[in-house]
Amino acid sequence: MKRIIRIAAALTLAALVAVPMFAAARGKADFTRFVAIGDSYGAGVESGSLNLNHQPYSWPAIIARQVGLKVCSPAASATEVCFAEPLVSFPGIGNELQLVSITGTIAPATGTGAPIMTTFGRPYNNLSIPGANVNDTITLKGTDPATSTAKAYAQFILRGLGTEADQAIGQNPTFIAAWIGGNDLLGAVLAGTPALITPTANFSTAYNALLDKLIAGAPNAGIVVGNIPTNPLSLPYVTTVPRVLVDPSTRQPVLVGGAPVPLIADLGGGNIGALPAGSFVLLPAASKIATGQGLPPQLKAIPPFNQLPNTGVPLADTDVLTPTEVTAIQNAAVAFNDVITQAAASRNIPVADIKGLFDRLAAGQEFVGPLTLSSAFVTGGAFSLDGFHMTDIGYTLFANEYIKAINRAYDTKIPLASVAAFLQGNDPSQAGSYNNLSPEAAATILSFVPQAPPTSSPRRRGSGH
Amino acid sequence: MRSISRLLIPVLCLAVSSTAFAAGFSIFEQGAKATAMGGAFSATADDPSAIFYNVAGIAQQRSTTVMVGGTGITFSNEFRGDPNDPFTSGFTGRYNRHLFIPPNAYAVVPIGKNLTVGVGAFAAFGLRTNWQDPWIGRFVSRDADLRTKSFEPAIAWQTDDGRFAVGAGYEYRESTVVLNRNSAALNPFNGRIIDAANAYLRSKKAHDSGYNAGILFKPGSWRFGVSYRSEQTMNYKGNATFTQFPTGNAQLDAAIKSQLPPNQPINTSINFPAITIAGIATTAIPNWDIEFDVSHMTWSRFKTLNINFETTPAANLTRPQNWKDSEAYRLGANRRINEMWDVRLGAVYDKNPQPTSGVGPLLPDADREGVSFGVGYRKGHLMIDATEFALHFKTRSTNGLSNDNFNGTYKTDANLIALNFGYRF
Repeated sequence: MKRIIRIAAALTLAALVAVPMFAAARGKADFTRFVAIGDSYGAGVESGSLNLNHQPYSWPAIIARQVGLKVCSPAASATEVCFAEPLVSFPGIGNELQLVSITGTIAPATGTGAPIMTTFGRPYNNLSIPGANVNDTITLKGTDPATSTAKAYAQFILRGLGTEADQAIGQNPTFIAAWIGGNDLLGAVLAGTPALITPTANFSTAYNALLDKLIAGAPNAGIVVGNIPTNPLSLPYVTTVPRVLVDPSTRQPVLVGGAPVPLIADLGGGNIGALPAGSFVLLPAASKIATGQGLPPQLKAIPPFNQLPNTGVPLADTDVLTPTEVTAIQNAAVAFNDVITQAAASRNIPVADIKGLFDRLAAGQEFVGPLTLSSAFVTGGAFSLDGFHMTDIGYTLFANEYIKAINRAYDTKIPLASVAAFLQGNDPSQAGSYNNLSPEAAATILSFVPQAPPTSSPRRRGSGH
Repeated sequence: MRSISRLLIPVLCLAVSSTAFAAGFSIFEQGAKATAMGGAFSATADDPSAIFYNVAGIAQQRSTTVMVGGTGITFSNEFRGDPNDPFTSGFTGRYNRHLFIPPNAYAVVPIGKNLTVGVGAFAAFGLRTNWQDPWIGRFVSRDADLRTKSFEPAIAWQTDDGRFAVGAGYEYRESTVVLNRNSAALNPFNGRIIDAANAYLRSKKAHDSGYNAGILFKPGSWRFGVSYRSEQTMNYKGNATFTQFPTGNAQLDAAIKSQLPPNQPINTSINFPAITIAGIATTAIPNWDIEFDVSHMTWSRFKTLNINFETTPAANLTRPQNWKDSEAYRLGANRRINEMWDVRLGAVYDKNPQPTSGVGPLLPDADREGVSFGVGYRKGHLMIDATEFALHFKTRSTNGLSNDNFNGTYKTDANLIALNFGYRF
């Protein structure tokens, strides 16, 4: 009897294994005409700037290189087979933030950046619009006045040629990668208020409409989307500034009467109070705290805090996330991910696990070669100096989540992009480490390496005799 | 804002040498005749290299004989990054070309009817994995060089009829080890990964001693041999030298300099395995001598590799290795052509003791398959043995399990040419 049960169990198991758990992913993993829909992450914004030093490391551009495409040079013609991005000259739109001193001084690069491919003769492959939320991808056409971040960028990225979705399907795409939804949430994080979260019903309507539109316009294309992080604490923008007063030189909490001193803030509706445990102070508040803002009034009597001009002035509601606000944002993120998961599953679209990547970074457990990457500000390696956009390395890991999802769903073997592409090569014996890079990637990296002045050739020297 | 120099510490944490030496650092090729027979020699042991393979075998050698030679070893290999590893994907690497020649020298002197004394010198363990720059695995290991030298006096006795012999020896072994790797860090000024510093560890000579013993039983056309070589433990002392690589940013360079450990004394120890060999041979087929051996090495002694930094103990490293004991199967044949010439064939299957998680640039071991061919020439007092031995390492992949987070596939082939000259007085 036992044996029969065991055989039956084995047969059942075999049947389970034999029947695919999911229907095959839609379309094919054919990247001949590859387009991307997205937001600032897709565009390759880093350190508060969109510019050509980093656009080649936007997650769509990294995927493009891994599937054998090259990123179009600024001089590319419309007929050239390459992955086109709306390149912007350095220091970019939003001057790129740069680390000035090792003690943490950050300042924008000087100069003026401008789009340099506005006359490119076809829609860009990378249609990502910084600031775009889901609904923007099916409504903005680049014809509106620049009254928002997304509308401003749409002017030179969409150029009035149609929405992100329109221009994507207009290219008769063979493969579409999209990551959208972050801005339906991020505005609330950046502004410290859940009021800016897109209602879940609206998010759902827009997300499903986007997928329907893409499928109707490109019925044979492969499609991949990605979920969004649910943990606001994965962003250095949220976690860098402590909730309590710290001594900037030791980074240890200042103890008054033996206890740490919580900062004070508008906890909502003008209710001023000490930040409770589970609250977060957003990155831009750091400069306010340096003036004394957020320090409780009783410190006005205690040197050296009595010398700061704003001691006793609470931080603004928009400077902080209270535990209630954190919960509201997390709940919305979970709801959005449910929408994404269901919308994708019902259309046989694979989902890249961006949430998983952010969770590992937040835990400081993203192990890559000799590095352990984390969400730590400046030193974590994954997030750039604005505290919420990623670095070249961070976007590489992001792109890899997409590649993994594609490989799983389409049974392809696209190699992951290597962060070793970002070795500076400062050990002279390791010169030549860039051999595996595409020319434009190598050029970008080499732009960081001091160049020796050109030496005259031996022949020319010889001719002087 | 935060002080970055403080934050850099965990990033920089100069993991100096993390991986293991491997099983693959034993060298079983200690005589051209034995090598030609796939190393199946413990039940034959009829030349002075018996001091290595089965010391009881010198008892049957009734002429004073000296034998010197060496085995030239070259490797060709390839590392291929794992397409699913976000660091190694797309990268390849290989060793620098080296010719290694572990030498060997033996002498045996019979005393009276039953006794023979002998002395041998050989290098039974060694390792060199020196990767060609630029090398993507340099943060795990750029170069590793483990050398040993052994010196062994031995004595053996056989019964009057020569059917049974026992022998024993005392082995004095010296060893040095060099480890060389870079450490990586993030450059927060440009978002690039820098080579922060090179760590170079060089030991002085360490030594230990052990014994070996063997028996040889020859009841008729069958022969049986068993030999044992004891385990040893090398306690190395040496120095670590740290060399910083400038990054082009003075502030970053100063921060790295402030965190770089000082050059300092280090110590470590490596457990060498015991080796047991059992062989059976037959002369049942006229003019053929065929032998089959199994050798067993107690690599399970290699549980951890600890490197202790004497000035900054906080930098001490403890790395689990968790090797398993391993066996090799060896088959050899010697065909006597005439008074002057022998031809020999051999085959080896050598199982590796390294768990998949430990496979890395320091030693990418793998199961090995080898075939050998050799000739022996005798004229008067002179003996010459020459052998070609081709050794193929099975392709070994870390399967995403690398302890060093350095995944990929290793392919290795070795070619060995062994040559020995003997003189029989």
